[in-house]
Amino acid sequence: MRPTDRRDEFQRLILPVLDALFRTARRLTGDHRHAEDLVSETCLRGLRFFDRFAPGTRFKAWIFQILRNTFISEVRRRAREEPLAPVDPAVLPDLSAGSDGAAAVDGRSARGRAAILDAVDDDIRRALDSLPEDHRMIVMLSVFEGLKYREIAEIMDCPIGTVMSRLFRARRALQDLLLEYARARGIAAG
Amino acid sequence: MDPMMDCTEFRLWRGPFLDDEVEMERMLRMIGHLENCPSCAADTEAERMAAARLREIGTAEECPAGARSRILASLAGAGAPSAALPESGRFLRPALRFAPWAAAAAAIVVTVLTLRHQPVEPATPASCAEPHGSAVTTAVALHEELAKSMAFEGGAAGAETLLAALRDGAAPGQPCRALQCPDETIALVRQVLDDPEAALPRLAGRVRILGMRTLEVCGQLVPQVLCDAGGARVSLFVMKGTCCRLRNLGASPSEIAGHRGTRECPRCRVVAWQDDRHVFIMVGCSGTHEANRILAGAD
Repeated sequence: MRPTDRRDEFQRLILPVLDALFRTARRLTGDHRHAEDLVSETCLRGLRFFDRFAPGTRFKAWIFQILRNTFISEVRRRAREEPLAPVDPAVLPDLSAGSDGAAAVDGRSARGRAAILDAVDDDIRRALDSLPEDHRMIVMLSVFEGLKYREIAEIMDCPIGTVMSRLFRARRALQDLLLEYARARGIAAG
Repeated sequence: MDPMMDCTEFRLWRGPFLDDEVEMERMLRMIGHLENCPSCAADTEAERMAAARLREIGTAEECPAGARSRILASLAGAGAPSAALPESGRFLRPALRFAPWAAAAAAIVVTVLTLRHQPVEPATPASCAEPHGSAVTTAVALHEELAKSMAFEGGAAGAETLLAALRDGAAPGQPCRALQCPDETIALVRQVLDDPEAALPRLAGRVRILGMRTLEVCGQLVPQVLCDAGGARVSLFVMKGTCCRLRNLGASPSEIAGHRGTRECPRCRVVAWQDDRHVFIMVGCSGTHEANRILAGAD
């Protein structure tokens, strides 16, 4: 395939996922300008290495892995200038280990789910932005973009059990945050 | 294996259940639990609505037109692809390793795709939680794009229409007799799975094949054909021999008794059942199935 044909093929594949890449980048970086830079760099890397994309596999998962790698490279570059706070990995029970901690949080989950349904859009975006980066990424990939756990595990370079565990925690954390916002607005009982 | 599931276990797996990410055996037990536990059923529905709300907000944002133009312009001015291994090369290696098999499997899919008349949406959640790697991972990935777009809106009438059509002679709308003629049914189901194009004339326009994918069930690569039968979406798949997680299904259908409309043939392992979205028709034996042979050979 000629380089121009390859570029055309890459563009054909990238167009349907551009919105998904951008909104994920937006949530990762926190603003539009950095999101555009991240997506642009991701696309350029994707095109550069498009020879290695295997037709028949899922392009969306492949390009999201490049997005994440590009983002991590950028975070590491920034971290050399300004160290990031570590993420506490033990906030909620480990789903993959068969913990029964889910039951313990189920009562508050019911209120949290109601909070999600009642929340204004900005609160949901604010709550999402408040999650640790790895949890946020998994929520975006799973809930928003509909990727399978297996694909997310490959993108995040972690076991499927970790994906499940982080997703579990992230959902609970989102519900807690939205409940908190609702209380602050006086629309939820304490 | 205890088919009963308590609320604690159910809650633990509710998220993966709603994401269609639990293996078949657990899914069946969870559905059984839902039918007997109004509290968990209500919680699950609330969780489903909350997830839909999150998805609605999360996918509302689009790439601004200006940013889109600049990104595409930068691509247009970029150089040719590099032959160097990318950072994400690890992700690609399995697919490259099984490229010959993938080509063969893709040929099967392409054959069926040409018969597809409408966009398809996510299918039945019949994969195990942990892929077994190598060809299994590749097989799932290969069909993911197709499977993602498969939507089911099953109904008992759809299953009956399909089976009636498969019996080659029963008119649409007549009571299904296929489960009383398992040998013929199995043969016809196999024909559909082996060579959907050749089977089409027999289906006489009453069953439309929407697509095909490969499920991974406990390490087995299971071909699945998705059909539109009388307006309902029907999933056909064939288990090869016995499966560690479904080994009792043929001999003891009580495991899936929680499914609404479960029917089984007492003389063979044809089992049909449905849940809210799907109609499943499983034929419990297919040792000589050609697609199975091809896929199994990939390992």
